[in-house]
Amino acid sequence: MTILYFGQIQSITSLAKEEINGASNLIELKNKLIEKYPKLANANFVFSVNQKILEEATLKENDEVALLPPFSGG
Amino acid sequence: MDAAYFNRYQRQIQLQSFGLEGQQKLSEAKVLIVGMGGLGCPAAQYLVGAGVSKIGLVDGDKVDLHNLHRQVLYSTSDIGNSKVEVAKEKLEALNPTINIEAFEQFITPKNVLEIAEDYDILLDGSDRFATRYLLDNYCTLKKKVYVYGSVFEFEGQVALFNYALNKIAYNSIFQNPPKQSDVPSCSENGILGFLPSIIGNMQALEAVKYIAGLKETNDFELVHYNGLTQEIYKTTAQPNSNFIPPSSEQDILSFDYDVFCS
Repeated sequence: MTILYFGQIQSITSLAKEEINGASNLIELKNKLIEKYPKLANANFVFSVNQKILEEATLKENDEVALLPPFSGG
Repeated sequence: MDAAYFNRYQRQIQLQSFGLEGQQKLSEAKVLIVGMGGLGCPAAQYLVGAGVSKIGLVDGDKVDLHNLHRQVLYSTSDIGNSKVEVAKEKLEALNPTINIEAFEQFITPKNVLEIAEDYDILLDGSDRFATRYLLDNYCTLKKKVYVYGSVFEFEGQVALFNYALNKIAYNSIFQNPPKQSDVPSCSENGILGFLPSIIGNMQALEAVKYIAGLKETNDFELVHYNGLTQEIYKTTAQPNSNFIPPSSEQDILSFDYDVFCS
């Protein structure tokens, strides 16, 4: 599935998007991501699955998941 | 309606989907802009130009030289003066028919009830999470509309929250507030002036679309804009069953937003 990184999250991953497979739900995906990018464990973000903000979801290989952090600048 | 009114807003009125009806709705709307920086300046300028009947400006800061590249209402000769006083003067010159109220203070749980009382829509031009959570909670309680906007380097977020309509609040999406120290602000990470100007205008547009009834959907939408790639990512949200909205003014007054976000 395609993973999109925004804002401060992109500063951790150093890329805007990538393909990650083998996660069947958001919890598994989060664990996989933290394994790859340990700093994500302390990062603040919400998941958006196929353009819907969700706390829990089952995932399929063709899904698109974004990690959306809140911004504070103004 | 006099000739000057028609003449001033002619280009808006002749826009078919907006028309005289849209113009008259703006003439009854009241918008409070909290934070008169990079987001608040362009939002205020365009809302006053568009003919929103009453605009409140809230900011305790004074104009600084490093504000000028993005805070478009201020000039070099304004340095050291109150942002809201300078802005009020500039905005009154732009459109003397608008009622502009200046509050030279920072918004807090203690003063928000009084400052925001007369306004239907709160447009967030602040740069702190504590303020964002406070304004959103206040709007949820009072069934008002909260127009969120924020920037991070080349990216920005915009959303219009109307909890009374769709049960979505900023607080219900970002339930765990980040520590302010974890999310760099413009003063820490830097910003080009274009970004807050674009986002501030998108906020003002969201407010006007809501006021004039131009929004095609009641569904919540959060827009993420990237100025480097010119890409827009839009996402929706569902009501969050874990979210407990504030139920009284006491909930607003007694909540320590600074601790919540630290």
